[in-house]
This record gives sequence, structure tokens and C-alpha cells, in this order.
Amino acid sequence: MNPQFKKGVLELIVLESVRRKDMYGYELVEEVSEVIDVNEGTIYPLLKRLTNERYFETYLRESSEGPPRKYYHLTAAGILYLERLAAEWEEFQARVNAFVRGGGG
Amino acid sequence: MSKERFLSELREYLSILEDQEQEDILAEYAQHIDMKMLKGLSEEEAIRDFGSVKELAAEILAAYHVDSEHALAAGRRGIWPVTPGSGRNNAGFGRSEPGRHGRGLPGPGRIFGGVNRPEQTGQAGSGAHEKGLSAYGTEEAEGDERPETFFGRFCRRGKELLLRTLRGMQAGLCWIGRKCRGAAAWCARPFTGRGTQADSPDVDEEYAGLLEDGEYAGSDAVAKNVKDDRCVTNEESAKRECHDINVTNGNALRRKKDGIRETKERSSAMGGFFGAIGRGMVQMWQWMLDCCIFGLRLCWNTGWLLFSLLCAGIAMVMLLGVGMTIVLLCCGYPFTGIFITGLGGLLCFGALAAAGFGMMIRKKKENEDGTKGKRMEEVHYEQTA
Repeated sequence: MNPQFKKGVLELIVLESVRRKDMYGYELVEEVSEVIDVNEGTIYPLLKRLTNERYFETYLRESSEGPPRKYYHLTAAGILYLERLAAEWEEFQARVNAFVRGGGG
Repeated sequence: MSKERFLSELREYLSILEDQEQEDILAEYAQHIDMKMLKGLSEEEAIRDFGSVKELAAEILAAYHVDSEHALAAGRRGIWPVTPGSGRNNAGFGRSEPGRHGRGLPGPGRIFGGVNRPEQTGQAGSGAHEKGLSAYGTEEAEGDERPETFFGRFCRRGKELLLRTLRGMQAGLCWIGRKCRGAAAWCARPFTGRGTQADSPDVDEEYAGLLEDGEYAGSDAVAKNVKDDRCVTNEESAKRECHDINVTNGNALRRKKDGIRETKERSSAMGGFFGAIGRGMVQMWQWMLDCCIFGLRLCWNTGWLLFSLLCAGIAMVMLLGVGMTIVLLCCGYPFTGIFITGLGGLLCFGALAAAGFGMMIRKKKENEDGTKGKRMEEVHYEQTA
């Protein structure tokens, strides 16, 4: 798939994934990889940025399989941002689809 | 590339960030690699999926609103400037509006900057070829990692050696500086004849928490800060953190305390005759200084008093003039302008005189009070300045 397309929707997919369930980094990478093929290393910077912008908050949860895992949780600001992003996406893909299918802008 | 090397390289690139942030980030990547290895992948395979370390670091720095171009280029020289507008603060977080990208953020366009494997993209990595990242000659511009050449290895090792040497020299200079300071303090003791306990009130306050076993008493604030910063819900982890911090603090304080106790014992033995001479000289110097300051203040206050009296005299004359003008006005003479001028002058000079006398009176009141800590001459100086 064209990487430019993936660039645009990665944030939306990550936000939506965390909205459904609090996840830790590796789990989130696997979840996102099921939707789009993404370089795993790029997820963490994105998570860090979203955390810095207060869309995510983090907490540690003990794990039986090793050291405590850092879970990401969507904040209220994150939910609002996700909703806005989703709405923009809907409008965007509808207009693009309409144009590509010859319906005009 | 091995896991250790990957993490150490990433740490180098991220050294501009706070230690806590670095550890946080590296722990996530380490955990990710471990989980992939549990699934059956080798270390190299697990790390290969991350792509280029440099580009990864650039993405991470972008999340902190750090100008990654300069930061990474400077990192190669071992210097980490923080560019204006980088937004780096003590917490290591860059603030931005809750918009899509925030201030200075490159946007999702950079996320895939050539980091995808070539077989996935089918084209040369787009973002990695952005001018900024390739400007300082990255070899990973194509998005895949080339094996390190001999020259590259030589440069890297040379740099590591140079950094180690510089750190050693810095540590040596600090040690020399400490010894010189201690020697100078020891030489000065005979002339001051005083112990050092009063010189370090901040250490005394810290002693309050120092326990006999060397551990700092610690505080709830430390536990709270650790908990908040790390979002740790597990009490045991938070307590472990606090214990580590407290032991470190306690050891540092104990070393300080031992050092000061030793200096005090030496200085008390050297007091006596030389100490008395020194104290006398200091007192005489202070007395001369006080006399000079008293003379200056006396002249200043006298000048101010004379000025106030002059203004009061002029104000009285103005008052007389205004009175006469009122009478003449009532008699029908056209002296309105003169009256207004006289009134203005009266108010002006009256205010000046009142200000000067007011300060004198306030000075007197505060002296009688004795409650104000500051001497009135200082207040006078401040106000007139």
C-alpha cells in the first residue's frame, strides 16, 4: 500500500484501538498491523507524541510474563480529538471517493 | 545489530532528553524486542523491523518538539544544543495545542520517512530523503541499514574514546578543584577562628532526615513524585524507587557530614591568638565602614531635609499669594489665571514638602517601633533612588 495513505490514517487507527481497550505498546503494534502494515518502530514515537499532547495517559500494570507493562489509556481530550479526526476522515474519504468515481467535487 | 548496540545507539541519539524520558523510551523498545524474541524471532530480526536508528530517533525527538535535524547532527559531535522553540522543559515534555501536530511538529508525513522496508514500499523511502535528515549525510537515507564500514567503526570508536577521555579529565579537574577548595578553607581557618557548622545551614536542615544507618528518612513527597511521574499503581515498585533515591541521598549527605566534621575539628585547633587578631582587624574594618556610611547618610538626610524646608517655604509663599488673589478676584480684578497658577504651585510645592517630611516622620515612627527589620536609611535610599 502507498505509504502516504498509511501516514494519514495511522494516528486515527492508533487512537481508535486505544479507545476500544487500554493497550501496551507491543499489543498496539500487533493490533495496528492487522489493519495496515506499519513499521513497528514508528508506533512508539507516535504514542510518545500523543502522550505529550495529553491525548493518552499511561500507567504500569504488573505482568506475569516479565517486567511491568506500560499501558496507554485515551483521555477525554483524546476522545474529542479522535472524534474530530474520524469526522474529518469520513468527509475526506467521501469526497475523494466521489471524485475518483467521477462524481466531481 | 544486537539489542545492546541498538539501545546504546538510540540512547546516544536521545541523550538530549531527560534521563527519565530516555529510560522510559528505551525500556519500551527493549520490552518490544523481548516480546518478539519470545515469539521466535532472533534479536537481529526483531531489531530490523525498527528500521534505521537515526530516523527512529528523529521521530522520537519530533514528539518532544526538538529540532531533530540540529539535535542529531550535534549528537554526532557530542554536543546537544536545544534550539529555540524546542519546547523542552523539566518534565521533558513539549507542549502544544491539542491540534493535530502542535508547534513545530512535522506531522505524520515524517512518520514513515523511509523507515519502511524497501520490499514493503516498492520505492525509495520518501520521508527519509527529506532535506533535513539527509543534510548531514546519513548513510541510511534509503531506509535500510548498511553494514558499518571500517572507517565508520574507526570514527565511532575514536569518538567514544575521546568522550571517555574528556569525561575522565573533567572528573579529574573536579577532584583537583575540590581539594584546592578544601586546602584554601583549611588555610583560612586560623584567621577566622570559626567552625564551619554555621556556614552550611542547608546541610544542617538536611541532617534532620539523616538516619544512623545512612539512609535518608525520605519523605512522602518523594514517593508521591515518583508515583506521579511514573504513573505507577504498584506500591512495591514505588517504594523500591523511593528506597533507591533515599539511599543515594543518604550516602551523599553522610559524605558531606563527614567532610565537614573533619574540617571543623582541624579549625578549632588553630583558633586562639591568630583568630583574635583576625577578629579584631575585621571589627576595626567594619567600624570604619560604618563611620563612612553614617557620614554619607547624614549628608544625604540633611540635604533632603533642606530641600523639604525649601519646598515648604515656597508653598507658604504660594499660599499667601493665592489668598491675596482670592481677595482681589472677589473685588472684581481679572486675576483668575494668576489664581490658578498660584494654586497649582501651592499644591506642587506642598506635595514635595509633604513627601519629604512624611519620610522623616515615617523614619522616626519606625525607629521608635523597632519592628522593621530594614534600617530607615536603606528605605530612604530606595525611595529616593
